[in-house]
Amino acid sequence: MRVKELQFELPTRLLATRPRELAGERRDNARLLVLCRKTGGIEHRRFHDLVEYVNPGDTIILNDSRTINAHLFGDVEGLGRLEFQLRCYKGAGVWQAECRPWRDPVPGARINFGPSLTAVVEGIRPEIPLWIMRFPDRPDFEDLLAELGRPIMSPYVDRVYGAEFYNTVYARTPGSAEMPAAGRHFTPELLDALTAKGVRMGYITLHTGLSSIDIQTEDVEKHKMLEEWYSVPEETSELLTETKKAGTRVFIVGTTVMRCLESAAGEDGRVAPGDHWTNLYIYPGYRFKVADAFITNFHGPKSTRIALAAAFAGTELVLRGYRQAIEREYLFYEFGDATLTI
Amino acid sequence: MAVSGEVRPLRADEVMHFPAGDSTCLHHLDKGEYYILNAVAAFIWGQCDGILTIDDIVAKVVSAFEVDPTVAQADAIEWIESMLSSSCLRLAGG
Repeated sequence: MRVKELQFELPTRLLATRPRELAGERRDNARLLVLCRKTGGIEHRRFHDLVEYVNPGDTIILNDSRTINAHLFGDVEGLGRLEFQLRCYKGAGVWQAECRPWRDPVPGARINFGPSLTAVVEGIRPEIPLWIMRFPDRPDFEDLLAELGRPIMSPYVDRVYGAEFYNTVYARTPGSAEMPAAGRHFTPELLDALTAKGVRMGYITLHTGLSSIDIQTEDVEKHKMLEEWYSVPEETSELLTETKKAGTRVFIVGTTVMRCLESAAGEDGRVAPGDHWTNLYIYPGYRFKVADAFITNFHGPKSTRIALAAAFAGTELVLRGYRQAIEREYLFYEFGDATLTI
Repeated sequence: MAVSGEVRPLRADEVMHFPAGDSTCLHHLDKGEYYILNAVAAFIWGQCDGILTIDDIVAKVVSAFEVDPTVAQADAIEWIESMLSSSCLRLAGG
C-alpha cells in the first residue's frame, strides 16, 4: 500500500489547541464519529453516547499508563543547555531520549537537569537517533520529573498545560511520554453509566514513547515500528477470555490497547498475561484477533495510527468518515474529538 | 538591548521550536507569540546554547553560509538583540 493512500488535507484550524474543559466543556462531550463496518454507515454523535453502542456483557479495555513530565531541559558538560524528551525507559535508570537541537552525545558527560537531578550520557541509539542516558535509580524520580519537567507538547498546542490535562481519569501507572489520548474522553460519570449498563472494564498498561513517529517510507509496509513496553494483568486476560466465551464484544480504547492486545494474543485469540515489549505495526491487511470495536482519536495523514484505524475499519470507510469530519469541523489529535468503529 | 560579541546567548526554556516547512518556527509559550526563522536565523538559534559567544556563533555562520564576516556580525547581533527583546533568548549567567 502506498503511503499517499493515507493522505488527506487537514486544515490547521482543526488541530485542537487546548483541552476542551478549559471552555467549560466535559471531556465526554467530545464529538464522536461512528463508523459501521457492516453497513458502511457513518453517524455523528457525542462521546457520552457510547453508552448507546454497548450491550450488557461487553468489555471495554483501557490503558492505565500515566503520562509523565517527559520534557526536560538540561545543562550538558561541554555542550550547553539542551532540550530532552524522555521516550523509552529501559530499566535500571536508563532512558532513551530525543535531544533538541541535535548534538552528538558525548559518553560520560553529565547532564544537570536541576539541583536534584543529574544523568550520565551512555551513548546513542543511532537509527532514530536518541541519546542513551542513565539516571540514578531513585524512588522519587517521577516526583522530580513533575517538579522539573513538563508534558511533551505538540507544536499546535497553544501553551503549556499541566500533567492533569494529559492524563485519563483512570491513569495510575507512570511511564508514558505521550498521552494515550483516546481514553481522555472518559469521565467518572461515563464510566459509571457504562458499568450500570452491565459493561465490564479491564486494564492494560502500555507506555507510549516511540510509536508516534510518522511513516517516512513510500510504502506503508516498509515502515519499522519501534518498541514499547506493555503489561497485561492476569485479571484482564481472564476477562477477555470470558468475554469471548460469552460471545459479547471487546471494545478497544486507543491504538496503544490495540497494539498491546494484538501482541499478546495467540492465533486462537486468547490474550496471554505478562510483561513484554512490542513493535507490532498494524496496517491494512492485518487480521485482528481480539478487537470487536475500536475507539480512537483523529489522526494525522500518513501516520501509523491512521494506518491502524484503516486496518480495522477499512481504508475507504475511514477516509470517507474523515472527509465528513473535516467538513463538520471535528477537532484532531490529543485534545480533539474521537471515532468509534463498530 | 545592545550586546557585544563576547556575550553568550541562550535559548529561553519557554520557547518551543519546531520545523515548519522549510523554515523553523518558534512559539513563545508564555506570550503566545510565534516567530518564523529563515535558515540562517534557525542556525543561529541552534547555536545559542549558553556556551558559545556571539563571536563564536558568527564564525560558525560565516563558515556554514559563506557570508561576509562583517555583515554576518552585524546581522547576527541585530537578530539576537531582537530575540532578547522578545524574551526568546536570554544571556547565559545573566
